[in-house]
Amino acid sequence: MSSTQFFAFVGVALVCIAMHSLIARAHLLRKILAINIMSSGVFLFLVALAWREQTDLPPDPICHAMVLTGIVVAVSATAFALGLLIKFNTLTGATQLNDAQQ
Amino acid sequence: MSKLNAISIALLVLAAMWFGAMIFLLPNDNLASVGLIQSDLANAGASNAVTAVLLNFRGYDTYLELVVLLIAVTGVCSLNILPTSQLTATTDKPGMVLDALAKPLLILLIMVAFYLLWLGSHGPGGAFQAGALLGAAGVLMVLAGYPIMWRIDHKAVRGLLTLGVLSFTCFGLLSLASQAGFFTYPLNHNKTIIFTIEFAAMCSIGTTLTILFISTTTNNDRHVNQTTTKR
Repeated sequence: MSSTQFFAFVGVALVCIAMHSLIARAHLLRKILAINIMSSGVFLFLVALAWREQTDLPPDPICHAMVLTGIVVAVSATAFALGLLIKFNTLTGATQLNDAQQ
Repeated sequence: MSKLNAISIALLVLAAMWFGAMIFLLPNDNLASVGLIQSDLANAGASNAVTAVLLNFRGYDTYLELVVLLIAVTGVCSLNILPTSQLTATTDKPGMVLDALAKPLLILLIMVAFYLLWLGSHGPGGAFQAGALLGAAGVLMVLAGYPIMWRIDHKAVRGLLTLGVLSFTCFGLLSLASQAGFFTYPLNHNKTIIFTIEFAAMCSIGTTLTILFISTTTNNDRHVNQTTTKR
């Protein structure tokens, strides 16, 4: 197993673990955290696959550029989600959606 | 709940195995895009390949990414959770020790941000890293308690927020008017154009991150007051 494959696989594992949390946990803050971990997994996957072992060429700059934009988008999306959560909590006092409360 | 747990774990283990297998099936040789970018890098206006991709080859990505930032700020502001001016303009200043520690750090953050912006044309750096540092400087100012009036209805703040998208749009339309195509910069000016856009993007990203931070760390007493009056 090369380092590229190892880090790409860790990225996949992170995405899957976070996906489980996103599905199975009702608390909205945990869902937001799960989405963040998922995006970290995607970034790790992209950065790992940007460079292949048997080449003399530098890593693929397109993957790096996508990760750079992705980080900023993930941060702003997280902030928006947290804003929505704060508003939801202010209005209802709850931290879960209605259908998850039974 | 436990049934949902079991189903989700089973499906995701399968997904991880499938994607893991895909990784091992990937070709281990050259990526076509790397060669293409390397061969055209001399005309890109930035010798750093990542900056060239971000602002020239795939300018649309960065442009729409700045639009996403603007939408996120608009969304947060539409939730009406931003503190009002009375709450942000705290009357008490940071203590002597905090003030003495925060000020050099702020100066250092801003200096490193501009250094990274300049570095972006030929090395790892650029508008995003610089903007993140400016955002960190803004967060530090908020946390230390400096009375900065980050109100969204302030005209200067609105200008800073939209600066990145505006300058990107301006240069895009200018290049369109000169019949070169959207985001196809003239070869003799592309260095200046890229640096201008990066500077504007840095200002927008820094301001956006600071405002997003303020909006999610709104003074809790205001919320408590609201909920208690409601009940």
